[in-house]
Amino acid sequence: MRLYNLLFITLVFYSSELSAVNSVKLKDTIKQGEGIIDMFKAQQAKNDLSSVDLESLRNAHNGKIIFAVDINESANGTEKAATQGVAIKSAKLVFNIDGTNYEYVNFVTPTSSLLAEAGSQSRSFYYTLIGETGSSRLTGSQNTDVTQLYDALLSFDVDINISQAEQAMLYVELLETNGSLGDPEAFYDFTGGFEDVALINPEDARYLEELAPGVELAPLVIAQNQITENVDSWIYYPSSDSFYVVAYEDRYPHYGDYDFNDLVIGYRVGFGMNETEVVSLIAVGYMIARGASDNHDWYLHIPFTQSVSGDVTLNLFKPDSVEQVSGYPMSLRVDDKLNLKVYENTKGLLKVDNSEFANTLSGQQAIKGHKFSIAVDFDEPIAYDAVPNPPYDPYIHVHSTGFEIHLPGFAPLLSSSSNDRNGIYEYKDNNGYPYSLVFPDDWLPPLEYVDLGEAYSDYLDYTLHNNQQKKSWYLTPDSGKTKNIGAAFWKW
Amino acid sequence: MNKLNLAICIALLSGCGGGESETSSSVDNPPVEKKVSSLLADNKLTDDSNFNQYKDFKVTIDVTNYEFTSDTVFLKVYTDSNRTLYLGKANPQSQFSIHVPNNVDQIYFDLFSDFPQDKQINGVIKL
Repeated sequence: MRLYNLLFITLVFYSSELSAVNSVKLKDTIKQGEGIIDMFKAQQAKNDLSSVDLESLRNAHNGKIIFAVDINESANGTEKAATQGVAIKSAKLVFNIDGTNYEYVNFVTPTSSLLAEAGSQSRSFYYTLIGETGSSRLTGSQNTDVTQLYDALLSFDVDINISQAEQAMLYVELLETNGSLGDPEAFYDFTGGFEDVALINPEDARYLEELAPGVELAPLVIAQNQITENVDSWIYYPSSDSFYVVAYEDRYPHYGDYDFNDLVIGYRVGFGMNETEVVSLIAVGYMIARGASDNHDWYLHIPFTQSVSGDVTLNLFKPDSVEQVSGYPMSLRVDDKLNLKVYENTKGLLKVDNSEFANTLSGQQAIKGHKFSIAVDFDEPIAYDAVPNPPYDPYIHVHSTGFEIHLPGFAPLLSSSSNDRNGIYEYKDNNGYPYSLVFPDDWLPPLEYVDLGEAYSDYLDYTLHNNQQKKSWYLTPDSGKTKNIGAAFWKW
Repeated sequence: MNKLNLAICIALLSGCGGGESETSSSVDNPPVEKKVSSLLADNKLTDDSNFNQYKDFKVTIDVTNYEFTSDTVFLKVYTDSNRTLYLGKANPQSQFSIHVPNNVDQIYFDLFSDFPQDKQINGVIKL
């Protein structure tokens, strides 16, 4: 297997013979896990390939036929805006030449995983196809449809001349994974969409091979080459498919009304590991509710215990869409502190016409909020010991007061803020309550002006008894006092 | 602030009612359980009140305890609701922290390899 992979990589990177044939998007697709694809039929008839064209591509790839696949699955399991995947159960090329079928069933992709098929709990090796969502690709040295839109490569060795082929077909069956096991199976589930397929020339293949879109962020990737070997495991906080929900009272330093819905954000963070060191970071989150007249910016600060630096991609998606807000994705540099302004102008982002509030009034129809994702590649590996304790430092900057509001214990970070720099950063009112709290994502925001203790009658018992009683207090909200927008709604 | 004032007024009124109940109980009526407010606005906390909804736990799994043929062993750590906490290559002595809700009492792990004859190991860790 390794020799085969080495050959694949060598061909993709070092093939000096460039094909005269352009990459061509094919008409047939892989739908609901099955593809019967006629290689002679292009999406646009004027681009239809002949058998001579196919042979030219085969020669350009030194005896291979290589496809590019555009992954269009919904993001199940480890939901990350920038990555999605499927696994291949079987694939076959069939050429009919002079009435004889020539079949090729050995294929390779740059990535694989160990997955349990539906109905099974034991895991086996499968090649995978990994891509990224929508038009989030930042760069493209070759501005073609194929390099901009397509993701993963699928390669077959073909050892016959196919210039006289009368029929050339690709058959693909995707693996139905046991999604009930969570990741990695849920991630490689194919049920969401369909995959476009293109026949690809060496130049475009090399570009996609180097780009490896979505691969670094995908779970349990067994890379077939050096490019994608960077991350070999992921540690997720709180988990790969749940979120911390941080809720704020924004009247600091004055008393609030304890409804903890002035701004509500869900987020999670994953650390990409190589051996025992952190080499990358991902974060994903959503706006959930905004019950405030004030406007805020929301920041996510990961307070590593050492200085960190690296390249950051910040994505901001329009509600319920793979389309990003104008100006995104945004490329940033981090030096020293990983402290990112994620949501700027929350009032402008999460708004309901003719209302000060969004998702905090009982009679108001709930709306979905913007989604963010962050990907960080660190310049140097970071010792795991330098990773801070979750839930980290999610904080807001309140426009009208100028104050930053953090979880207790975190120092202000913005030079422009009104906070005292006195070394005591409790962010608690005179009754002893913080201005921000972090909850599991089963928690529902209280309605406007409803005290958290009224919405959840067990909350105080839990808090006053050192968290030893009523541990599941947030699972029994008063339905008349909370906004019924669970994670199934806001995690679109 | 108006809401707070309202809450204080309600609390004062409740206090008056409470006095009347005590008087009633002195004439052999059944004792009335005093209703304690669950509102944050009505309860001043002590400095040691705990607002954490999650707990940290350091996970240590010694892969060398298990007899895998392959040098490449993978580890998945997850909760009973199949929420994945760790997924990927296992180091010989994998050690990392997890952060789970306080009502989670145990987590699970799978160890498996790319060698077809290696059997998957399933385990439970009590928190």
